[in-house]
Amino acid sequence: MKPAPFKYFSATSAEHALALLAEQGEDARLLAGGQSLVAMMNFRVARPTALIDLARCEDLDFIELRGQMLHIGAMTRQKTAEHDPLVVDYCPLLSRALSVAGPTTVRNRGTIGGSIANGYPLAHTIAIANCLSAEICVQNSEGSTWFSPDQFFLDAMVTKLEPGDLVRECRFPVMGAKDRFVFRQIANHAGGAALCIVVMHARRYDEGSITSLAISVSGIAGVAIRLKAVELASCDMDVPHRVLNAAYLQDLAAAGYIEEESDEQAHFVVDVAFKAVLEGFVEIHQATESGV
Amino acid sequence: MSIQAKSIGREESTRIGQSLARLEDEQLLRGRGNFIDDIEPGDRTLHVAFVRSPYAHARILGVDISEAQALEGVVAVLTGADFVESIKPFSADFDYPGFKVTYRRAMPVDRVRFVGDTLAMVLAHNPYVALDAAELVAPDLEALSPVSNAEAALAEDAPLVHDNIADNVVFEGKFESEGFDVAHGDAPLKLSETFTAARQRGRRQWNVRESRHGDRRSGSAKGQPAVARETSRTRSAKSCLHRRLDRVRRSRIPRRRLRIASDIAL
Repeated sequence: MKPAPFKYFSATSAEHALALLAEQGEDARLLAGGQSLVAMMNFRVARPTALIDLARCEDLDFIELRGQMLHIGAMTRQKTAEHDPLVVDYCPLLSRALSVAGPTTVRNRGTIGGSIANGYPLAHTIAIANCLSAEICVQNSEGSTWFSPDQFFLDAMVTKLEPGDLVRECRFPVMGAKDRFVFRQIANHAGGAALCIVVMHARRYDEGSITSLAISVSGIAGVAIRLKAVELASCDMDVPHRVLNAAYLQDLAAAGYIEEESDEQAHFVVDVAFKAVLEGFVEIHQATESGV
Repeated sequence: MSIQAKSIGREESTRIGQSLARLEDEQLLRGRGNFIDDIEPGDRTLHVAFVRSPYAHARILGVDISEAQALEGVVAVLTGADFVESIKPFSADFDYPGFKVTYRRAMPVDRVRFVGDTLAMVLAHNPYVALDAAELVAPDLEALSPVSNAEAALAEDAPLVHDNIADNVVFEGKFESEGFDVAHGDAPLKLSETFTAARQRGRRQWNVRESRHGDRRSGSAKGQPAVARETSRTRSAKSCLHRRLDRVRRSRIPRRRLRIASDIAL
C-alpha cells in the first residue's frame, strides 16, 4: 500500500499550477484533496510521475454569490461547502447531498473540484451539478471555458479535461426559496457506497405552482443522466403511471441502457431509481398542494 | 402443518439474531488501541512485499529475481525454493475415516492454486522499496485450467488441485438419523433444499522482527523475534506459527517467547 515513486510540487495559485503542469508533462496529476487519487496511487493503479498539490491555492478556495449564480472554487472542501451559509441558503440541495458524501474525514479533505474532475459516476457533487445544470469552468494556458454537465462528463471517470487543464470552479444556479427538492441515495447498507442516486428539483413560482422539474439519476450509465422525457411528462400531478413508464423507457434508451445486455445489479438500479422518482413526485406535489 | 424455527442452545442465552454491544470499541475510539502501525518498528525492522499469482492455476516454470535483487535497499528476494527445508508444509487434517490429507507450502514451489498465491517475497529496508522491487520480479508461469467451485471440481475431467487426490474429493460426509426412510416415506409433505456455506478462515498476517537488544513492549529477549499480527486469535496463531518452524529454530525460540501484539479483531 505504498505508491510508486513520484515528484511532488505545491502550487500557490491556479497560474502556478498550470505552469507546473506544462513543465511536468502529461503524466503529472493535480492533487485536489486526494481522497480518490491517493488511494489509487497506493494500490499502484494510478502512477502519476508528478503530483501538483492545489491545497495552497487560495484563489481556488471561495464561495461567492454573483447574481443568480453561486460560484464555488475547485479547492473548496466538501465539508466547508456543506455548512457554508450561502450554500445552505441558495443551494440547499448541494448541502444535503454533501452531508452524506462519504465519511466526515473524507469530506474534510475532499474538494468540490476534485470530485468533478474525477468523474466518478456516483459522485454526489456530480449528481447535484447534473440536476441543477451547474456549469464547470476549465482553465488552461489559453484561458477558461464553461461547460455544462453533459458536455463535461463523457463516461465513467472520463471527462472533457485534457492534459494541461484544471477545473477552476463550478457555478450553480440559485434555488428559489419555494423550490422543492428530493434527494435519494440507495446503498446496500447504511454508510455503504451508493448504488444509485436520484435527485429531483422542482422550480416554483411564488404562488407555488411547479414551472419545471429536473431529475438526475446516477448509477444507470457511466455518467449521471437527466430523465428529460419524464421531466416533460410529469409537471402535471395526474399524469397516468403508464405515461411516466413509457417516458422512463425512452430516457433509458437515450442513456444507452439495453435491458437484455445489462446485469442484475443494473436491472435493480433501474427499478429502484424509478420507484424513487415516483415517490419523489408524490412528495413534491403533496408539498405543493398543501402550500408548504 | 406448521414448521417453526427453533433456536439451538439454551433459550434464554441465545445470541442468534441479536445485535450485540461491542466491548472493544471504547478503547479503540479513545485512541488506546495498539495497532500494528503503533508499534515502533526499530532500526532493524525489514519490510516485506509479496509477489502474487495473477492466475487461479498455473505451473511455475521459474521466477527471475535478478532485477529485484539489484535494486538499492533490497535485502533479499526469496522464492518457494528457499523455504523447502526450513518451513514444513501446513497440512489440512481431520480425524475422520477416509479423510485425505493435503499439504500446502508456505510458498509454492511448482504450482500456484489461486489468484494471489505467493510467488516471491521481497525484504527491504523500507516498504516503498519492497513494493518497487516486487514489481521487478518476473515469474514465468504456464497457465493451467482452473477449477473454481466445489461442483466443478467433481466433474470427470476437472483439473486436479492436488496430484495425490485423484477425484478432488478430500472428504465426503453423509448423515442420516435412525428411521429416516420410514419417516420420509410416510411424510405427507416433502421439502428438499440445497444449502451452501461460506468458507471460514482466520486471517494470517505476520509481522516478524528480530530485536537485537530485546524489546520491553513486546517482551522478546535479545535476538528473538516478536510477532505482531492483526488478529484476535493470538493463542492459535502462536501454536500454529511455532509448529511450522524447523527443529533448530524451534529450540532457539521457545513458544513462550513468541509474543503476539495487536488489538485488531477479525
